[in-house]
Amino acid sequence: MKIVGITSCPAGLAHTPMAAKALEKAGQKLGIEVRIEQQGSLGQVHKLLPLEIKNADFVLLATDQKIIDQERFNDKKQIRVNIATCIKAPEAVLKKCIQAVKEV
Amino acid sequence: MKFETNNILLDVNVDSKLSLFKYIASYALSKNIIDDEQKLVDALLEREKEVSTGLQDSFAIPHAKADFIKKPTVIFLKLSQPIQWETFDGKPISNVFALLVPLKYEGTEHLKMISNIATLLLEEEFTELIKNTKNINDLEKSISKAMQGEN
Repeated sequence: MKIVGITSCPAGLAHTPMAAKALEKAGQKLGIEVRIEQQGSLGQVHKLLPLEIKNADFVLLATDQKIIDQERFNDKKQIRVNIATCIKAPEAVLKKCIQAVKEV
Repeated sequence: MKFETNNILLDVNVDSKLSLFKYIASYALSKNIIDDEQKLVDALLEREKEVSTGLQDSFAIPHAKADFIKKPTVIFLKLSQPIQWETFDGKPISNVFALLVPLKYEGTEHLKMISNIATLLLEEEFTELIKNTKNINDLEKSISKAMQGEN
């Protein structure tokens, strides 16, 4: 299972990098490849590569904001989640999303 | 950008989020970081309305990004009594990193350093250290190191 994702929050200062790090760490723990691009005050950090997007099983959008270049994901399954939940319970978020994708 | 030992405030005696924000604003005014206390209090409250900046394990990271903030600043406050806050674990807050950023610093190294503090709060080693000491030198060392991204 490969997951790519975006984190983004209103100020783009704290929650954006925190959620990215929490999700990537949770991925390591669960043995899942998780690659997160941050869209915050620093612009696009760790920008996703086209190949990474192509190879991903789905796209995790941890934000309630508008995303930069959302067209990149047009032909991918996308799941939107609350960014705070990603910091609070990143493993649960990943597991739940994987479950949801399998059921579709 | 260097984290200043002056910006470690211990035994801060406030009884609510609002009184904490007023305390931060009055400190920021005294350090010439802002000119108008009310504006900063409003900006911090406004940010809380979007998403609570309460984390878990006694930590909160209230922040404001605004044109009236004159220099990027990190203030660490240790409260003498925990205060109520909307947090992940439902527990009150007693360790606070206030992050103040001028709008024009968008995308700069300063912001990277401020973000580094936030991500380090996911590391137990860092949070335990910060929680369990009141030694200004130890706090300064850990916070400075965190801002450099040495984790």
